[in-house]
Amino acid sequence: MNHKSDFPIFDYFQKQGKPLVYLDSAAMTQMPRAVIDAVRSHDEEAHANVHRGIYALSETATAKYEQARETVRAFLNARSANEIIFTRNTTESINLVAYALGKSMLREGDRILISRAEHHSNILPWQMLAEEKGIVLDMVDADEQGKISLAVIERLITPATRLAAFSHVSHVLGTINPVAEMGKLFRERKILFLVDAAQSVGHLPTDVQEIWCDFLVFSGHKMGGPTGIGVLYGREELLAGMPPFLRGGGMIQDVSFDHTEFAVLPAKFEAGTPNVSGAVGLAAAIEYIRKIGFDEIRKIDEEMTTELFSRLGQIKGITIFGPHDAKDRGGVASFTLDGIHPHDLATILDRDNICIRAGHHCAMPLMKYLGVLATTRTSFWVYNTRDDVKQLAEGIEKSRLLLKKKP
Amino acid sequence: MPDTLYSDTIMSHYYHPQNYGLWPEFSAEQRYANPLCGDIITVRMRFDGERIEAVCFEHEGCVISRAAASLLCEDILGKTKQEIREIVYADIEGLLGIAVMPARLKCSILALEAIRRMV
Ligand SMILES: Cc1ncc(COP(=O)(O)O)c(C=O)c1O
Repeated sequence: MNHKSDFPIFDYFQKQGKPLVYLDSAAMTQMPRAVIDAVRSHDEEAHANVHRGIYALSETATAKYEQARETVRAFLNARSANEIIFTRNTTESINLVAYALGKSMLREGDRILISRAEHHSNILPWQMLAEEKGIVLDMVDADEQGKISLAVIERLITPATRLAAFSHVSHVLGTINPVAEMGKLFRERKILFLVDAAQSVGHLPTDVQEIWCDFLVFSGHKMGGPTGIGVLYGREELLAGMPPFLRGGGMIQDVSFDHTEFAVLPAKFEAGTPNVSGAVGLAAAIEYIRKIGFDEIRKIDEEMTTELFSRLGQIKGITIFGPHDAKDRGGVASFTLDGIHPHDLATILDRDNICIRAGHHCAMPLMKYLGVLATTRTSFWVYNTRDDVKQLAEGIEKSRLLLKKKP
Repeated sequence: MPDTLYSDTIMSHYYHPQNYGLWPEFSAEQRYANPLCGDIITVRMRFDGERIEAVCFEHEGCVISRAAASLLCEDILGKTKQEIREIVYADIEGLLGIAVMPARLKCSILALEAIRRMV
C-alpha cells in the first residue's frame, strides 16, 4: 500500500515538477490531510480559550482539548487522563521532570543512569541536576551493534541510583531498546524510569503499563502531528507529589499574596494557555496511526531498512551504524561515506529534492564515542517507498562522481 | 556544465589546501567548531607587529569549510590585524566565487570565526 496520497505535501511538490523524497521523519514527520483538516476545522469552528469562558464556544474548545487528552491516554494505555500532561515537545517534557524531581525527591549524591546514545534533550536536563544539586550521572554504552544490554545496565546500578532515562528507539543508531525488560529491572530496584519515546510512538505500539515506566515523553511532530505539542505521561502518584514547573494562570486552586494552592492534575503542570489546536491535531494523528495500524507501519519500517541495507551495501566506503538486523531497528539509520562529508552529501542530494539529515544529530557524546564528527541520517515513516531509497542510493553515486578528485 | 557550488577552484582548494599542516612556532592558536555539524578547524598565526606574517591550519570537515579556509589563509597573509577585523561574510563568498546558500553559511565562515578570535 502506498500512503503518500494521504499527505498533501507530496502532491504539492509533484505538481511543481520536483517530486519530494522525504527521508528526515526522525526530525519531523509530514502531516496527513486528516491532521491538517482537524486543526483547520478546530480553528474555524471551535477557537477559544479553554477552562476559562462561561460561554458555549469555550466549552466546545475545552471539550475538544480534554477529548484529545483522553485519546492520548487510550493510545498509551495510561490508567487516568490525569497522567497525561500536554507540553510543547519532548525537550520540555524532560525538563519538566528534571526540574520537578530536582526540587522534590532527588538529593545530593543520588545517581541518574542514562546512555551515551541519548539525544541532548535527554542529557542536558540531567546535567543541570548534576551541576546544581550534586547528582551523579552514570553513562551506559551501547555495544558495537548499538545495543544496550541489561547486563551492562545492572553493572552500573548502585544503591544510590534513583532514576534511569533511556530512549525507546535511538535517533542515531536506530536501535530498539528492550524498554519492557528495562522497566522490570528498574521497578524491582525501585529506580524511577523515564522513557524517551520521541522516535518510537509513531512506529511501535506503546503501553506504559506494559513498559512499567514512571514517565514517558514524546513530540507530536514526529508522529504525524503539528509542531508545538508534546506529551509527558507520568504516574499519577508521582506527578501528585511533584511541584509545578511553570507557574501562572490555569494551574491554581486559590491565590493570595503570600500563598498559592495549586490545581489538581493535570492542570498543575499546564500553566498558561495551552496549544489547544495542537492537541486536537495530535489526537487526529493518533487516529491516523490507528487507522494505518502499527503492523503496517512496522512492515514499512522493516522493508525500508532492508532496502536501504541492500542498496547502501553495494556502495564502496559506506559504514552503517547500529544493529545489522532490520528487526532490531526502528525507522532510523545513520551512515558515513569515506571521502564525502555528510554536509556535502546533503547539499548535493537536496538538488534533487532528497531531504536527509547531516550532522551530529544532537548526540555529540555518541559521535565522540563512534569516532566521527558527523553522520548522514535517513529516517522513514508511512509514506516512504522503496523508490525513495533507490533515489537516495543513486544520489549518493552522483555525489561521488561530482566530488571525485580531479587529476 | 561547471558546478556552481563544487567549482574547479573550490575542489582544487579542497584537495590541495594551501597553508595546510600546523607548524610548532606560533603567536596565536585558535580551535573552532561549527556547533551545527561538528566541523573542526585549528588555525595558528604568526604576527610581525600588526602584520600577519604566517598562517596555517588543520581541519576536519566538508568541502566548503576546507576550501574557504584555504582561500582565506592565502588571502590574509601580509594583511594587518585591523584589515582582518574588517573582513565580512560577503568577502568569503567573494573568495569562493559563489553565493553561499544559508544552510552552508556556517561552513564557509568556519576559518574566519577562528581567525577573528586571534586579532
Ligand atoms: C530521541 C529523541 N529525544 C528527544 C528529541 C527532542 O525532541 P524535540 O526537539 O521535539 O523536543 C528528539 C528529536 O530529535 C529525539 O529524536
